[in-house]
This record gives sequence, C-alpha cells and structure tokens, in this order.
Amino acid sequence: MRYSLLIVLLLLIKQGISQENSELPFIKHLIDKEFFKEAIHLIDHDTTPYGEQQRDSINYYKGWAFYSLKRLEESTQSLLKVNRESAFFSKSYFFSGYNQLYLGNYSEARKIFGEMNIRSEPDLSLLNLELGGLEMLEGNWTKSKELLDKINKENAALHQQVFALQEIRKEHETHRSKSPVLAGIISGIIPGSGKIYAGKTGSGIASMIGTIGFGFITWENYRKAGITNAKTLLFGSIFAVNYVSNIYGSVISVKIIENEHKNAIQNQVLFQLHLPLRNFFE
Amino acid sequence: MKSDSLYAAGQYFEASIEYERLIFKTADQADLNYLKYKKALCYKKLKEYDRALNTLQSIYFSNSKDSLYRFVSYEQSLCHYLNGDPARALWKIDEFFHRSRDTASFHFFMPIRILSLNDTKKWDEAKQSFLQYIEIQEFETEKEEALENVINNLYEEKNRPRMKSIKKAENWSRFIPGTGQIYAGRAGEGTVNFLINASVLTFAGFQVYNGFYITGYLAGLGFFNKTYHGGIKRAGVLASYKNQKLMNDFNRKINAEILSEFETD
Repeated sequence: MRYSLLIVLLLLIKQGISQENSELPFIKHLIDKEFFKEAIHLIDHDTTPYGEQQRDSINYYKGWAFYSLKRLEESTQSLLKVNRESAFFSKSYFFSGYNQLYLGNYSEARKIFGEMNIRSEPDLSLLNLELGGLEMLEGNWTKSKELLDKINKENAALHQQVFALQEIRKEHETHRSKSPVLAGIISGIIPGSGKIYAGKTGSGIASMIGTIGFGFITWENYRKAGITNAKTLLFGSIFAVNYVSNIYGSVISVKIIENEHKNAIQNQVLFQLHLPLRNFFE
Repeated sequence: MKSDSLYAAGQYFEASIEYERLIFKTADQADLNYLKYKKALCYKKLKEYDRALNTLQSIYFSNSKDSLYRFVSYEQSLCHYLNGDPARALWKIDEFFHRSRDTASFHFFMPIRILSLNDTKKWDEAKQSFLQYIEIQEFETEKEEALENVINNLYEEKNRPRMKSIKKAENWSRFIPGTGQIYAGRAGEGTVNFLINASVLTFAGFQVYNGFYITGYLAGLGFFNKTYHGGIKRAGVLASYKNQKLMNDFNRKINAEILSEFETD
C-alpha cells in the first residue's frame, strides 16, 4: 500500500514537471503565428518526456506545420501518429487523407479514410464527400454519384461543395474527348488543321502557312532547277521535316489539351474537397 | 540570455526562435519592441529580408523620440536596400527624419542613402549627400579635402555611368541591323547580326532576280523578317543589360570608396 502511494506520488510529480517544461504552449504560439519551420525545428529538438495526450498534440502540430509548408508526405506521417482518443484525431486523419489525394496516392487515401471508422454525422457526410471526390479523381463517376447522394442534404456546410462536385461531373459527362489519331490524319491532309481541331487555332494557322510556304518553295525550285538541285533538296528536306513534325505536333496538341482538361477537373475536385475541411475544423 | 548567445555564435535561425519565445512571454511594450528588433536582425543575417521587414514593421512606437526608433528605421532602410528596393529605402530614411527631426543621426543613415540615391540614378543628390557625409565626419582638413576631391572626381559627368537608351538601341537596329547591338556595347554580336541580315536579304534579292519569286519572297524575306525584328528586340535587351552592368560597376566603386575611406578609420 505504502509503495503504491509512493509510485502514484512520483508519477504525479513527473507529470507536473513535464507540464511545467512543456513546449506545447510555445509550439502552439509558433503555429498560430505561422512560424512553421521554427515549430518543426523546436519539436525535433524537444526532449521533454511528454504524456500520450501531449504527444498527440505535438504530432498534430508537427503534421499541421508540414501541411502548411506543403510538405504533404511528412505531414501525413506525423498526422497519422495522432491517436483516436485525441481531440485532434478527426482533423488529423481527414487532412492526411486529403494530403494523399493531393499527392495522387488514392489507395493510401482510401485506406486512411477507411481507418477512421466514422459512423455518425456530421463527420459521416464529410467522409462521404471526400470519398465521392476520391472516386471522381479515380474516374469512377457512377460510384462518386452514389456517395454524394448519401450526404445529408440538411448539412449546410457541405451543400455548396456537393453542388459544385455535381456540376464538375456534369461537365465531365458533356465533355467530348478529341482523338489524337484524327488530329494526325487531318494534319496529314491539310497541314495545321489538326492543331486547329485541338483548339489551338493560332498555332494551327502558323503551321499551315509555314508548311505550305515551304511546299511552294520546293515546288518552284523543283520546276525551275530540277530534283537534283541543292536548293530543291534543301527546301524539300525542310518541307518534309516541317510536314512530319506538324503531324506529330497535332497529335501531341490533342494529348496536351486532353491532359489539361483532366488536370483542370482534378484541380477543381481537389479544391472542392479542401474547402469543407478548412471550414469544418477551423 | 540564450537568444543572445545563439546570435553571437552565428546560429541565427535558432536565435530567432529564442527571441520569439521571449516575445511570447513578454507583455512589456518596450521589451517587445527590442526583442522584435533583435529577431529582425536574425532574419537579416539569414538574408530573409522580407521576414526581417515584416518583423520590423510590427514594432510600434508611440513616441518617435524612442532611442530604438532610429535603429529600427535604419534596419528597415537597409533591408529595403538589400532587398533591391532603393526607392523604399530612401522613403524610410525620409520618414525617419520627418517624424523624429533627429538631425544628429544624419550620418548614421548616410551610407545607405548614398547607395540608394546612386541606384535610383540621382547622381547630384548622391554627390551632395556624400560630401555632406564627409563634412560630418570631422576629418583633418587635409584628409577632408582629399576625400572631397575623390568624390568630385567620382561623380564628374564623364565618370558617371553613361546609360544606354533602350529606344535608341532599338531604333539603330531598325535603321541598320546590328548597329543597336554595337551601340549597346556588343560589337561582335552586332557585326554577326548585320552579316546574317545582309546575307538573307542578298539571298532574297538574288532569288527574285533569277526568277525564283516564291523562294525569294517566302524563304528570303520571311527569314529576313525574323532576323530583322529579332535583332531589334535583342538590341533593346542588350542595352538594358548594359545599363545594369554600368550601374553595378559604378556602385561597386562607390561602395569600395565608402568602405576604404570610412570603415578603416
């Protein structure tokens, strides 16, 4: 009995000392003042023996500092160390999931969201929104619709984002993909037309003028000086290189345009997934 | 204090954290101002001039007679200058004198003022400030006269950087291709540019003369169009580079003068 009391007393003293030496208030101050590099430095060099609860806070602050510095992989590592019992658990997991979405690690994000084991509102609606966005990013548009439909309609904080994500889905459905093969073929028939088809009218017209111009020069030299003439060979070669590269350029142009469209959709989705996270937890 | 020891040891990042810790714990406005000033010095040493300026900006003075006000204003003007904004450095100096009416601190700001005036091409004002600076130093008459001669010589019309007009460089190249580059001090590049333009134009003329009208017009004049307009643009860019170089050289001379004549004394 006497020993037990002594141990309890020692533990209380230790906790008291550790709270007194705690860097937590100062770390929080650094985070609030947006001195993120300084906060990370301090955490990394802090040797205070913290209790579990304080350790959770430290991990959360470190993860948040990394997140604010856009060092998302390190942010995820720290945020995932926050325990379920912590007040920061929900925020930490949602943000580490978002970090992975941003980094394009969709399966990792899915795993993190799955580990949260959320069953109640309003977190459940937020989770469905994030998962719906994740499905969109992976190209599973039907599945994303199902998840977005599950979101509580009375949740005013998410209403705008759900609407925005649905609009993005509609935009995706009405988008007509352009064919790189078709762009190449029509550029072979009329130089520059492939780029015009891809939506790059100015570049297409410039290519058209350039290639046709060299074609005319080659034709003139061929007609007046013959096929073996040096000028015919020179301008003929330039024309050939121009003609072929223009076909290749048209194919690439369509691929770039399609990629740009995909990236734009991706950025819009990520933006809509990020906004409610900030609103929910700040 | 740990912060001061770290600063003295050259560990400026760590020192800035310790100063921030003291700021966090302090409620006294005067202490707060001093600590922010010290923290800004850390950022200056780390060459993070924007952060230094932000920290200095947050220092509040209810009284412009505060002895720290001069030091803060000095650091603000210096950081603006080092951050490549001499106009703001001058504005900060003027603001200090306007608010504090502290003419005794004039010499304190003079080196930055002179450098900033040079950077903003206000040569006459720079020269006057430099001469005034020498006068304030209270050197022996002989040395003062020698220094004044050096300054007068340095700022003489013929020794000042002769800035190239970008417009003039472009117009020269518009009139005779390559001459704009020569005007901007790149004779070799100008000559090559002239030869390229002349060759392309000759080729075009030769083709048309021999009945190759399409070749002459499209290949000759089309190519000439590119080299001609490219040359004009390039002349302007070169003139701008030249001006930058002239300014740097001149300021380096002034810098050397300030350091050799004053700091060693």
